[in-house]
Amino acid sequence: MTVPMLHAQRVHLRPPGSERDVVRDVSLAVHAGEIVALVGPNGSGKSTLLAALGRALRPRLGRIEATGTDVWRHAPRTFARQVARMPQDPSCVEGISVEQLVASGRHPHRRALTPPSAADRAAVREAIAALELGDLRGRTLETLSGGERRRAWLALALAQETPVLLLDEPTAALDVRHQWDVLARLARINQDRRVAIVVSLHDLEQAASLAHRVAILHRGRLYAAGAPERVIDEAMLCDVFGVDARVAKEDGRMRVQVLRPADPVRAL
Amino acid sequence: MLGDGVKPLPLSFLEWQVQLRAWTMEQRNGAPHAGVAPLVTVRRPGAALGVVSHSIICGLLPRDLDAKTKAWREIYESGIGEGSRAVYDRGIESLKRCYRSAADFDPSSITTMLSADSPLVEALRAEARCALVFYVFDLTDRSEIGRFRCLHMDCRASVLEGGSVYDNVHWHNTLFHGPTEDQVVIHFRHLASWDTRFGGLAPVVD
Repeated sequence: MTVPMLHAQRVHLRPPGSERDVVRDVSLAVHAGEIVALVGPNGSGKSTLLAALGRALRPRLGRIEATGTDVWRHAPRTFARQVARMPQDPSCVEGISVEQLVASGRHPHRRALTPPSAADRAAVREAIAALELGDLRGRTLETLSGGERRRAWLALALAQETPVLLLDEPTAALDVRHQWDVLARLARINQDRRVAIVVSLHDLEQAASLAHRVAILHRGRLYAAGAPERVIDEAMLCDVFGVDARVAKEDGRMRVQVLRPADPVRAL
Repeated sequence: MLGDGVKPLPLSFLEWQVQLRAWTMEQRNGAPHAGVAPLVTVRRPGAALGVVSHSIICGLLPRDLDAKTKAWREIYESGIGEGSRAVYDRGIESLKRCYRSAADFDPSSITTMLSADSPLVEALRAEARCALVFYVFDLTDRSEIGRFRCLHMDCRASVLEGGSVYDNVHWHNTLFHGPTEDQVVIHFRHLASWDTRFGGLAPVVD
């Protein structure tokens, strides 16, 4: 059996300032080359779990391994060559250009005080091209629209050239075309480079079309994980999202039609 | 397990509870019925007058306590990697086999799990004597919500933070709600029951 690229083992997570665990007893393995979509209502723990997988939050209980070693035993630079993470609301200093931001994704690969190598320059060029940011490369981030900024941050994560990408709502604030554009790019990156991707999404149809597996979080717990057609069903929508819905397949795609709020007696 | 004035629950009540729980497992996928949600009333600590009153979801205590604790813990620990839905479904299957006969349950115990810092727990720590009031209780009523008929039950409560009763209630609760923090188990021991069917408090005699 292959060692997972990332493996959360019964983790309990409590972000700073929180009095309670917001993720409770969650296990999740991510294997090379697979896309795992994290879905769940607001506040279900998706971002917290992604932060912990990205070594930004230490588990209160349980452990997270990257290729068989506790993530907290990896040196930060080594870990950053393994896993790139795009948070939900990334921030940076003012005045930085798109190209500078994307180039910062090469830091884990560079030695201190050395100029970027040919490989570094090529990685930045490719990431900028992949996200169609060529015309914006010299613009500062604060002059971009929300969607453009999101693509710039995604390009940074790509330039990091890691075998694992963690993306927290990469389609938030994007218009419909750019949402599908980003998802198509993620699918291509996954196919071309066998990059494992863990991505939080709100749209269940998008999750079903993109991911090999869907992990559903509900009130900080893993409700179910598996192939989209196995775990996205009407009972789940009632239990987790509190809605009566119809789930159907049309032209090979999953369609989710929300009908009404669920009967509260039936919702767990 | 009886002593210190503890008396068996009315058998009709215990049988009804077992029937009701079996029914909710089969028909409602375990969603609790109002018949398992009594009101707990206890004197307000430090006050000359007044009570603390709160509804709870209560449980029964199996006679084969440690075996059930072990089984429920195994269901949880072997299934949680698949997610809480798988654990829940297996928990329901286990409980369907559990609720068959009143003889399988401790005749004098009712339990619940509460936040350690709740006002009800504070009151029960100060005053063990309390009353459980079951508002929905009628063996002859087959409708889904039951008929209003109040059963008033005098009890003595212990607040547990460990031990075999605590473990049993903890693992039962964990099957359906996952791990919880800062919870205590309340172990109610039955002292006497009163039926309000006739407009007063008539002792319940089986």
